[in-house]
Amino acid sequence: MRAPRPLTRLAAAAAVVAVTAATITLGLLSAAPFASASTGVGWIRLAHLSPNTPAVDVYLYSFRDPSAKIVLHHVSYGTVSGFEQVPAGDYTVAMRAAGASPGSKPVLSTAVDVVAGHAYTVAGMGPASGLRLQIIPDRLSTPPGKALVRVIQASLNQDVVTVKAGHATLARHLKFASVTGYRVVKPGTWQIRVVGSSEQATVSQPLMAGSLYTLVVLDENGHLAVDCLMDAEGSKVAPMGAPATGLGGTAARPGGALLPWAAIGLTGLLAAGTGLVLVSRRRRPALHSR
Amino acid sequence: MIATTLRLWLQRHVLPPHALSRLRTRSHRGLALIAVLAIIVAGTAVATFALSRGGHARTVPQSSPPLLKAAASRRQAADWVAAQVSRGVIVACDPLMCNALQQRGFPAADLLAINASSGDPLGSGIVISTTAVRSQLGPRLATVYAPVVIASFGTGTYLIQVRAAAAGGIATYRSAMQADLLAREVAGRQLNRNSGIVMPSSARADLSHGRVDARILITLAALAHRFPVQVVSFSDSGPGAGPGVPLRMLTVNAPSAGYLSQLLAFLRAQRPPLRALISPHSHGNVSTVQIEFTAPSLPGLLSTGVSA
Repeated sequence: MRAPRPLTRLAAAAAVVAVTAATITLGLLSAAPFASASTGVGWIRLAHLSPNTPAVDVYLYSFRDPSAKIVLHHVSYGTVSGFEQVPAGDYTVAMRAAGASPGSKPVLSTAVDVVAGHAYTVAGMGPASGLRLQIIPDRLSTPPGKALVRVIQASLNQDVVTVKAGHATLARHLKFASVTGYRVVKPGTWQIRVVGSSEQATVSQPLMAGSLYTLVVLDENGHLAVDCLMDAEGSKVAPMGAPATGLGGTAARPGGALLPWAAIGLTGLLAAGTGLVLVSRRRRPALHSR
Repeated sequence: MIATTLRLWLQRHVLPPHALSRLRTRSHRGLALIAVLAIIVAGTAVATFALSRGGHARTVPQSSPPLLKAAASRRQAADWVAAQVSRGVIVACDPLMCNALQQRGFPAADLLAINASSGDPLGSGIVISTTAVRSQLGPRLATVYAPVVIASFGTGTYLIQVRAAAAGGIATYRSAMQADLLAREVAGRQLNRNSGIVMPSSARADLSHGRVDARILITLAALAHRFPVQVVSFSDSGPGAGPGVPLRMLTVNAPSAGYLSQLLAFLRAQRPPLRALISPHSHGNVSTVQIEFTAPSLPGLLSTGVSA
């Protein structure tokens, strides 16, 4: 009569472990697709970098869902909106003058393939007469202990500029409406100097480890200026919602991404609880029988 | 003086002696002159006819069957290029073809003549492969400069091919085309799931296999947000186009006059490269609209998202 007790306990414990393991495995399996391109989310924002161009609203039309339309509302020249979370997939990008009559037709401009976990800037670039929307992929992480910096040249008055951080050259002879890749820099406070054909501008800019920045060269009241925007803090995996700084993208991992993990935890707890109840029920008769 | 000369000539060579005596009378002299003039007129006519025949004889090669075939191919190719190729795309061609294109209103600034003194067609977006161009560029035409045939006309020696030039070199071009095909497949499969678009299974297959031009995909997604879209077909990659050349024409149904008006207004508001050639057609109570984008297709619109 005593012999079955350890066996029952062992079986119950094994069942609990098996159910918990299976739950965790299923959870992991379900979490993986969540991060994939088919079901995940990405982030997108609008930058107005076209001098003398009226504000525009930008529309994203999902290829998959005819009811999924995202509107990035207008921002003024030289500024960038906060990130919007969007389902991964292809979108047609269109624009319309801000405040245009509802009957006016949006002008199709380009397409963007939003990959899950990635962020993009839709930048209005070029002169007013030839405004175009350009999709600029944003990075979200840095090498350990480093900062990343890139330059967007949006000054029409100084159409070719050279940008230096201290003695290091970040961009040489960068033409209007062009973008550099990210460059690795040491964290610290840097003197950022922008030199055009007839003007220059300098700012002192702290660049933190694990953070990503975009230096936007622009015309401010007719003079050359440089604005430093923080794309993301490297310790935070992804941007979410409106920015805390001029550019945004500094928030923690989006809440949506926690959902599958919460489901896993909850299911695991339920399984463990069921197992414990099972074990305790098996124990009671054994104690009475003593 | 002419009359006297003729009379003397007739006296010596043509008229018999008894007739000659008759000519001495005034009336007979007049009749003879009329006859002579008639002979001259007839002779002139015969000579002119002979000369004109001779003129044709000198240009016989132009109307010979081979050259007629060559001219027909050239005419068809020029018509197609003038109607289908985007303005702003540089077209490299032999002088004869360039001239034919100019006659059809193609901007001279967009033409790059290939002849013995010119080097290569680098910088062009389209190369028109004629016998002259093939002999000038040799096998490098297909292996280096312009690997993809987007339309062809005629056969054999009279074959004229419209080829898309490999911008950035053949390896870069092939890589870009491959990436574009993958992007079109992914985007096409998403559109297949779009509940706002109704289409036959053949059109669905075109979408899922990446056979449809990226500009159509971009336009379709936006259209489906505005109103339900009934796709009739995707078509026209160009006559004799090579495999893998995207279909540039979309035909949709327009179920009502209001719908048609809205659709046309939307399409006409667009700008290049997303501005299409639009042809509405009516078949009884049914209206369809053909929406066609210019050649060549632009790789990279979906994968990189860089706009024009």
